[in-house]
Amino acid sequence: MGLLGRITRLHVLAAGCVAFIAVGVVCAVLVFRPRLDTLRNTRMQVNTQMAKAQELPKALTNLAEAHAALLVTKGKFDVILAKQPKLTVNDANQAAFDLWREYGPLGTGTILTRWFLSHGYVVRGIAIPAPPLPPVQIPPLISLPMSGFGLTARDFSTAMRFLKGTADIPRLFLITNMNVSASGGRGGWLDVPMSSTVFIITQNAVPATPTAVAAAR
Amino acid sequence: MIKINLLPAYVLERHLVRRTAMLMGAVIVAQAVAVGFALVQLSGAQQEADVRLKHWTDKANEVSTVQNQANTERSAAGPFQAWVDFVNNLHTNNAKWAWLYEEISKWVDNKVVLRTMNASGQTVTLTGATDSLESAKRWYLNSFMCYLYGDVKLQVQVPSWTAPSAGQPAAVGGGPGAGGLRFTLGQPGAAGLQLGPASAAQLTPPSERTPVTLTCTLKPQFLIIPPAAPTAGGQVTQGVGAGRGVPAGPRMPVAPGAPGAVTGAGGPPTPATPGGGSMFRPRRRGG
Repeated sequence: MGLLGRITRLHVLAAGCVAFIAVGVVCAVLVFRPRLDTLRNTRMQVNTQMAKAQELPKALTNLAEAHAALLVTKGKFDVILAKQPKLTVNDANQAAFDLWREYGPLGTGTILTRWFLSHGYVVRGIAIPAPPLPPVQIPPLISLPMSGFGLTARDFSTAMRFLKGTADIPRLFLITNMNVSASGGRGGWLDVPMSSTVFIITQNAVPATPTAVAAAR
Repeated sequence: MIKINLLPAYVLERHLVRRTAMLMGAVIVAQAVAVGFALVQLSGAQQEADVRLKHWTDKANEVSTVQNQANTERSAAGPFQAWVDFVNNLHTNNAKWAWLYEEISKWVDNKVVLRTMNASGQTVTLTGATDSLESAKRWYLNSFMCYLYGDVKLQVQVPSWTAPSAGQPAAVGGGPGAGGLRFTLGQPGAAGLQLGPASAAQLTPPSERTPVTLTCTLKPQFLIIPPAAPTAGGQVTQGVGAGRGVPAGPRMPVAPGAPGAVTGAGGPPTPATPGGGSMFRPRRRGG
């Protein structure tokens, strides 16, 4: 009898169990574990993406709100621009003449003077400074400082009414300083000198980027 | 019948060993089959998960696209909003001047006739005249309770008095260069009241015989800061006419006695009664 003759059932049984366990361990470690990890990761990604995808209604609502806000804001800006002279930098030559016209006798000075007169305000010092020559580059906001501007009012409430009603002036009018002095004793006039600036917003104040144009539609 | 095993024991043992080995082999084979089956199942689950992942990833990308589009629209509204805000702030700035002067005038005493009101930076200078020192004092003390001011200084131009010398009329008047009240009393029986160098004093009504100057320091929150102008891109860069150095703009109007108003002893401060001597007294509704 050789070596095989000494092998008993217990030996075979032990060897079988060892092989069974070894195969199981090898399969679990080398085959199942990586695949299970991959599957688990994939399912986690699915959950993440699913949670994000469920934000679609909210995102669509936000988009609609943003679009509406853009339209409203642009509408307000268009209303402001509509009150401004049509100064554009698309055509440099045309822009130069438009700008000179705005500084000229048919421009801001005359418009302001007529408006003040038509509303019963006695003003002085509407002086538009000389235009830039040549206006090579028109800024988005043209400021015309009027340091000698002043109002002559019959009473205090008229002066205050003027200050509160500057939004109706056909140009953007900013008061940076002012004082009030009386002249002529009781029943006299009030002199209200103001440091003021007239602003003109050009039509190209907001650059027409493709995204802005597309978004505004 | 009796069955007798005459075979040697090792024959039986070999038989049992062989059967055990076959059994273990079958077990191993079954294990391999189970492993294969599990692998097939696992692959199927993985494929299903991949399909679902692709589906939901597409949906999530759609959400990202919509979110990016919303952000683009919001940023596109920024430049427009900057200009709209600038124009609104510009109008508000002008109205704040009206509010400030109206509030200042509310705290002017009835007996004070104002000549100038000047709010420059943080300093408010009010010049005028009163009928007496008492009125000036009342205005001064009342201004201390005004919620607009952090500090108040009063200057009163009191006429000087000179004792009459023999044969000369008594003289009451301001000092050299004072420019205030100046008049000369005449002797009885002479020409009566004789006007001195400042003949305008004769024209000054009694209610304006004491020139006063009230210099107040505005609290920083009531400073009026001009709005900042946006650039071409709609970004705010610097204030128009800035340089006052106070970052905060003026607050909304605060009524005397309201939270934020300075209160003194003996109850909340009250502005001077309207309808007094100030030329700047604003007209009130219903009054």
